[in-house]
Amino acid sequence: MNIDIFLFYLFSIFALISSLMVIGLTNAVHSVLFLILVFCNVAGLLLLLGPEFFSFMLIIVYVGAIAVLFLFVVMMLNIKLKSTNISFSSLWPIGILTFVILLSQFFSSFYELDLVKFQGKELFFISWANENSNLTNIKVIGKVLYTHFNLLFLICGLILLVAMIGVIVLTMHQRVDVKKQQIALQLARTAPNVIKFIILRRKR
Amino acid sequence: MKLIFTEYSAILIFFAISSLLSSVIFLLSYFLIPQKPDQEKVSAYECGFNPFDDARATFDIRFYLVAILFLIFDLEISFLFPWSLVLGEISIIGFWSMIVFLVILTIGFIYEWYKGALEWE
Amino acid sequence: MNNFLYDIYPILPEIFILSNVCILLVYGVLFSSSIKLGYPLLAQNLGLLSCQILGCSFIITYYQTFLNLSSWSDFFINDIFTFKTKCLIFLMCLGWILITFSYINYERINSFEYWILILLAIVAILFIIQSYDLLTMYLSIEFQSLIFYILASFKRTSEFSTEAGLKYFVLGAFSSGLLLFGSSLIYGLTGLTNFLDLAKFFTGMPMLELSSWIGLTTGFTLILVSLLFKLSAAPFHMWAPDVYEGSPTSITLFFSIMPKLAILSLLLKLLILSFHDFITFWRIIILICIIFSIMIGTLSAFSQIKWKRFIAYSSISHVGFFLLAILSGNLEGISSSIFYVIIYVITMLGIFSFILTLRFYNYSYHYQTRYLQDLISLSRFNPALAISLTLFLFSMAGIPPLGGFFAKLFVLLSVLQTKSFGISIFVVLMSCISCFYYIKLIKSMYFSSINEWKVLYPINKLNSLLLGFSLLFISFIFYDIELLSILSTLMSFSFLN
Repeated sequence: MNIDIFLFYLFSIFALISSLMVIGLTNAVHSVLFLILVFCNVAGLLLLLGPEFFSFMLIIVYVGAIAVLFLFVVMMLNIKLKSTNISFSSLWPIGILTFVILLSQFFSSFYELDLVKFQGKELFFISWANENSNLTNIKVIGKVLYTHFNLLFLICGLILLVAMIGVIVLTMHQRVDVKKQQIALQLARTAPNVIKFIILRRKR
Repeated sequence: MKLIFTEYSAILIFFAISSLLSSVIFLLSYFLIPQKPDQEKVSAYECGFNPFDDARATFDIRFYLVAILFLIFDLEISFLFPWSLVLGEISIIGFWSMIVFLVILTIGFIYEWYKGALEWE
Repeated sequence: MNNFLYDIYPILPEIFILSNVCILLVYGVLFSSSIKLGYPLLAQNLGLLSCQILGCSFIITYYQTFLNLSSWSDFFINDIFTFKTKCLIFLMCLGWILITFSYINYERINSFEYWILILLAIVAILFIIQSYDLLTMYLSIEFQSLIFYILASFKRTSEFSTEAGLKYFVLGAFSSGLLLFGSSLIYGLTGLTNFLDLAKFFTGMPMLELSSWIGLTTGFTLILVSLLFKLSAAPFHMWAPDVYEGSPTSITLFFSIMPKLAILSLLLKLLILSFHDFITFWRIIILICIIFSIMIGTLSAFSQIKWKRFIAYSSISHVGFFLLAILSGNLEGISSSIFYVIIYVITMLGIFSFILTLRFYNYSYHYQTRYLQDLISLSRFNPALAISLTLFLFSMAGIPPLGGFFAKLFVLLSVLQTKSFGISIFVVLMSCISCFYYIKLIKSMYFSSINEWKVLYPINKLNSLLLGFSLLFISFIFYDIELLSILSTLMSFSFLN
């Protein structure tokens, strides 16, 4: 078997198992850890497809920041065990409906693919010269993001600005009565300004 | 599927060997030692007393503030990665659009600096 | 370089507001966190400055020479519709600021970031109006929604406010997810994201002949559902009453007037420009939404006892009317929809200036009215306020010769042109039912009596200016209705292609 088919099945099966464990476990911290595993496996799958910048960005952004935020929320709310018991009969209609809709979308691409031997039905011509002189994924993104799509890029910058303002508006509690050290002033003092002589009482 | 994978195979071998080694160490220590858990052995240690309270203190919200600010600047850096590689090939418009983006985020940074979000206590 | 100048010129007001936001942000934070000045509260200062900024940007927008082009490599469009809509948004926001200046003093909203967020929200709404691509639509809607989530929970000490912000955030994020899923399905099946390109792609082909019509209709339905969510049309209206009630009242007014015109312009571009050939499909969805909106908006208002929830439900029924006008899919429909939106905004400004004025004085503090019971025998305490509320309620009910009647008349005329008699009769019946509880409010003002005499806090000048303006507008618009209908017809001409 080819190494990329083997890796595809390995990553997919681990991703599926981890995602089932995310929703199936009672301890919330364990669920978040399995979510991290899902992200890592999906990043591996993305790496197999070609765009390596996206897969590493997925790990940096999703695991490095978003899963960390999830963990902080779980720790902040102190969720120990599942506190509500939702009965299965109220969930299964919506669950079956969503599953059928998403599965039908999936099946429409199924007929063209052979999942055991990964053989396509037609031959196509690989131009190895093209493959050799391919631009890497980062360069492709860079060439268009800052020239053709620069409006979207600037709107993203504005969204990040709003996020910064919003997080401080909603969570920061500025205390005006606490004295803070002003280290710059402390370090900038010079020897003559440190000691001051005063005359308390006149000597008789 | 991508056709040329030479550099990533090194990472894959490293990953495979490290996961093998860590799972061997973990599973050996799980299966080979005698385990007889007892109620006294498993309970939390609090200088011999029974535990008074839950060990977790109230989580401070400053951690969350720091995490969100880290996320924002992390995204800024990840936008800087492709730009630094192709700076020679995009015209002056590409340069100045990134400068405008950095100026917008720097103003946000000045805002949170002077608000005191970067001070801890 | 020339192409770049053509990109900059249409978004000159946005650039002006953004540079002012940067300056004000640094100014605000440097002054308000300085120990030497004693941590001054800069909210009112920045309020006046932002009023000036919006006035100057209105002047910039109004006196721009009109260019009909698509800028930023086809991500933005500038035609007569966006041009006039930008002017309208600035005017609406100036009216909003007049009402809410005093509210900030009374409710002690002291942080200056309030004004920074309002200015950024205006920029986001201007971006939504001009967007011409699925990606720009998604990013601008996310930008605007993020600012609104923060504004809804601005009063950190009130549990109502934080609950409103949380509910709005969860449901808004879910609907943005649906928007993105729909856009990615459409991009995956057609390879196009620009609205005009999609319009050209679907030209002439009836829907069922496309090979991928299932995926396209699914994607289109998801985008439509998400936009109807943001517009608070039923059956996607669940968040509106709670969010409207929990947010601070000035922010509720901002929520009711600003996004409606923006998301409506986006809906118009999608339904009538891009997916016009799917009309036999989206007609059904919009029809169901109209029936539910008008029914739920009318019938749920019967059991309300609080002011803001009452207004939330009546704005749900008004959204049903906006959607009714575009059901016909022709130019008269679009112009009557825009006309209805303008009358709706002026009526909302009037009603909210009435609510913000109605403060009861209970020695040494005054609190704002919250319950509909506070209206009892208002005609004896303050007859002018009572008459103004009467006129506003009659306009909302659609009684001639007030402005609301003409708005509903134009909408129904454009619907009747397509011979949809059933929905017109249904809508008129529901209007009669809504008339009932408007008259119930008027009856409690004029014909009920209360034992204790409540003292009203006197109205302040800016509030009274706006109350008077909107009252005069809706009362006397019948004299020269061409004032508004020319504007709305002109705006609809940009959909001619």
